[in-house]
Amino acid sequence: MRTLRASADPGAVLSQVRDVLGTDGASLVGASVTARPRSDEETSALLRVARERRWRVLPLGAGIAGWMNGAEPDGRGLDLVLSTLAMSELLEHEPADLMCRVRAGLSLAALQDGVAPAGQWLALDPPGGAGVTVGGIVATGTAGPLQIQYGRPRDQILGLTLVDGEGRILSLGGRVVKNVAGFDLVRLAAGSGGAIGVITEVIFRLYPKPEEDRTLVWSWEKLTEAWDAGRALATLPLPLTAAELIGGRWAPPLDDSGYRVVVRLTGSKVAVERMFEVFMERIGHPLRELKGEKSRTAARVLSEGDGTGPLSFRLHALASRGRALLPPLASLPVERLALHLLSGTFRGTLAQGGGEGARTEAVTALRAPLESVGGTLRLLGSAWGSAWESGTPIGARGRTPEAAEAPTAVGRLRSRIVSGFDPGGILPDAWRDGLVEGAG
Amino acid sequence: MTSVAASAPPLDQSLVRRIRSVVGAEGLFIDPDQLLVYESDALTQYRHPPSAVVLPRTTEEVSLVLALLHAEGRAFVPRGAGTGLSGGALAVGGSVLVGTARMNRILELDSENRRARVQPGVVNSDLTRAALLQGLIYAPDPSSQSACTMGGNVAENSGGPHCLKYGVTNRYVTGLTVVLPDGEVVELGGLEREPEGLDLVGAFVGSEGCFGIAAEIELTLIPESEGVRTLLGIFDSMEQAGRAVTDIMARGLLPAALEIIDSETIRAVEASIFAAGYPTDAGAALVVEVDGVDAALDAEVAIARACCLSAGAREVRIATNAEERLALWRGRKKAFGAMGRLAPDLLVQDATVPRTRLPEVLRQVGEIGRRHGILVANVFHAGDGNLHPNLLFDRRDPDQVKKVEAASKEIMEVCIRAGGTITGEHGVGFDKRAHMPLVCSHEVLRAMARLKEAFDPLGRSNPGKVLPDGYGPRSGAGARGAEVGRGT
Repeated sequence: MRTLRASADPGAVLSQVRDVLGTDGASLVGASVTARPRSDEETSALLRVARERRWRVLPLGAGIAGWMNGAEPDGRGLDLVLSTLAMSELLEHEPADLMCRVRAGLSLAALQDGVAPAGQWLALDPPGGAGVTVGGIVATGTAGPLQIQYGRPRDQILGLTLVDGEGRILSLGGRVVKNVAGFDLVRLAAGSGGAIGVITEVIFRLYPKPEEDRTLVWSWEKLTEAWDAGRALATLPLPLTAAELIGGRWAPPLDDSGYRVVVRLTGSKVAVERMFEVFMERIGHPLRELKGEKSRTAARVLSEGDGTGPLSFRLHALASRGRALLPPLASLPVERLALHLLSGTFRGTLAQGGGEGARTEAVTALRAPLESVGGTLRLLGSAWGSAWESGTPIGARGRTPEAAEAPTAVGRLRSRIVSGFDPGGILPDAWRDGLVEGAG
Repeated sequence: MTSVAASAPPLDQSLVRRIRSVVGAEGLFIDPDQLLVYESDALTQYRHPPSAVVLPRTTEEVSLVLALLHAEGRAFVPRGAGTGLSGGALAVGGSVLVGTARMNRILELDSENRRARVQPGVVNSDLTRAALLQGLIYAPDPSSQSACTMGGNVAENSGGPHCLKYGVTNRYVTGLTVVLPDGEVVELGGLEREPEGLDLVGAFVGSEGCFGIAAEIELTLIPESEGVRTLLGIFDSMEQAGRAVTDIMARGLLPAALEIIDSETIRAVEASIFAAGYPTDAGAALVVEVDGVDAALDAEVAIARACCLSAGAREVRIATNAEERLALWRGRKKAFGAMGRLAPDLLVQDATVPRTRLPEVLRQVGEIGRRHGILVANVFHAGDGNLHPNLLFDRRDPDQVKKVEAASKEIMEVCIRAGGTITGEHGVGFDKRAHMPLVCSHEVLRAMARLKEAFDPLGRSNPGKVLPDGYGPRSGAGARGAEVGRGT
């Protein structure tokens, strides 16, 4: 791993950025300069200057996932934060085509408000809350409970505009649902974490809002009991909208005690009613039923509640093997826990006050079971940076020393791709992992 | 349309021996008569015989074969079942064809995690047949699904009628074992890992054989729907059918499929052995299929039926059992086969437009056909705006060939002006690469070329495809089939 080090004087950076964007286009925030370009052309001009000066640039939306790129909260180690927040328009919404075109700095909440009058929505619920930006969602590729029915962000993007590390403006994909004209640079950009460029605009596929929205909650005392019951329900051949197991402290209406299986059913009234009957036949256990607005609130609590803050962690294993991870998880001092019952992604936040000790304890407790199921653990949050504990993530953003020091075949492939879009090494993957030879 | 008789240079004896020692005597064809079988895919107007055909059985054999070809500077073209419609599997410039016919094993079917791991030669419908024993299906269903292979589906990012609701191939591929053009094996993605960072699996899917060979494919399966209902609306005009589609979507329904068949196609089907009982004086037929929780489907069928009737349908037929369902689908599924009666050759266009622009684009497609004196028959995925105009002609008549080429380009231009693209699911391949500048800027084409170079720096994997001349690593011109340039 390379030490992060800003390469230029912030005062000089500020004045050079203002030459491009004007005085109100940039300011000093913490130890680094934040620039707010308003168009693709300004973004391009800015990145060309950055390339020439060899700055380390961090593209940022709402700033919720800044830690992912190894940035310090006060901006140390960077020359320039490139904020997309001055590009936040909803440019187009075509209800009859179930499509909208938005700028990257638009918040998810504002997008949903914009398309709701037509009875439509963007079926994404990433962690981080309503303030997350469209560009942030697409760049990080993070997905919440809805992914079991609607897929991840990359599955809902028809096209996007990317300004790469050379300042080249690339308008990728299009406005239609099916498009195989050429190599899939849209997929390469979605989830790339800024590695190949700054996303400035996205064209999304929308869905009609379901007629009925219902959330069912069952509580269990033991984690393994809840898991077994939850897996049995989640694997029924029904189109579930979400299937999660949660523990710890959650906001209302999910503030029950014990471990809770939370299942969300959406669709037409008759379909939801029928699925509800199937569940009732299967389960001889008291349950709570949340309908309409309450169900939507529960969904919001579920998606916002976890996965991004300090002291949080993510585990991933094949869902069928997840059971082996439950005993160590149950013994950890967790504030909150959320397990996707179908995808095998577990999110959690450790209780406050544990500090480094709690982290060490968590890692020690989870290491052996993780290795036995071939899963991965990721520790998140600014307190820890972001580190992988087990397994070698493929094409991942974690700080993986191997990526720089003893490149694997995949590592070399990734390095060649990044170099093609960011030959100057000014974007996060290049300067963090030393991917671009002779740069940085 | 040219039929280039490439002078495929034969492999030298020592390379033949070394390849044979990897794949066995049955795994290598060099006899020109045997090679003729592989001179084209399902787009038959182009023909390029390969210099050899190699049929490996395992990932290791693929790796060894590609390493041998790499060392000799030979280009190669991957091929599944050869059902592609864009000339993607043509052995341009005498490439060595690497076929996946003997890699047809389902390696793992893990119903608990709803995933499968397959070799690339597994046939699409064989996977679904095996998965159905566990109540699961593989969702994308190209019309050629009884023949096309999963490796080909990955290369083309294939769609199919049911992709309206379920999405295309790239939504279902979670991991790949890829053999790079120099023989190196890389593992991309995998369900055991949370998707993070550069999506190399997503970049590989749809790369049309230009990035290497997917030797193992990990896929997500989904539960079979509890119920399914199919109805057929018969309309006097295409406009009416188009209006019914728009109404159905506006009512918030997301059918599994919405397919339109035009009057020319109906007449062709009804005159053929595939006759499905559609009225031959109809202007258009619309197949609507809804699936999901069984109890909800009758209500959805009622909505779809009402939409058809209010758009002016003269008749709506609802299938009450599996046999009737198949009958309603027959006109759509057998359309291509039936067109063989109308002309010896057909060129299938694959442009896609925003759904709301369908009626006007179809009108223009009709005009283009009339102006050039070319019969155009339409079957298409109306729900996602994916057109399939079939241009009927006789390739022995050079005048007709010219007219078809001109009409085909005009159709693509009309679709792009309507906000669409040149190909929705068949791929660019050899056929449409010259048209790529219609939809991609110079900078985007250069970016695609750089991505290709990252996987295939020497331009040896499926040269002469997807990118127009002048972009990326080039091959195919030289006597050895791999003269390499790095021009961008």
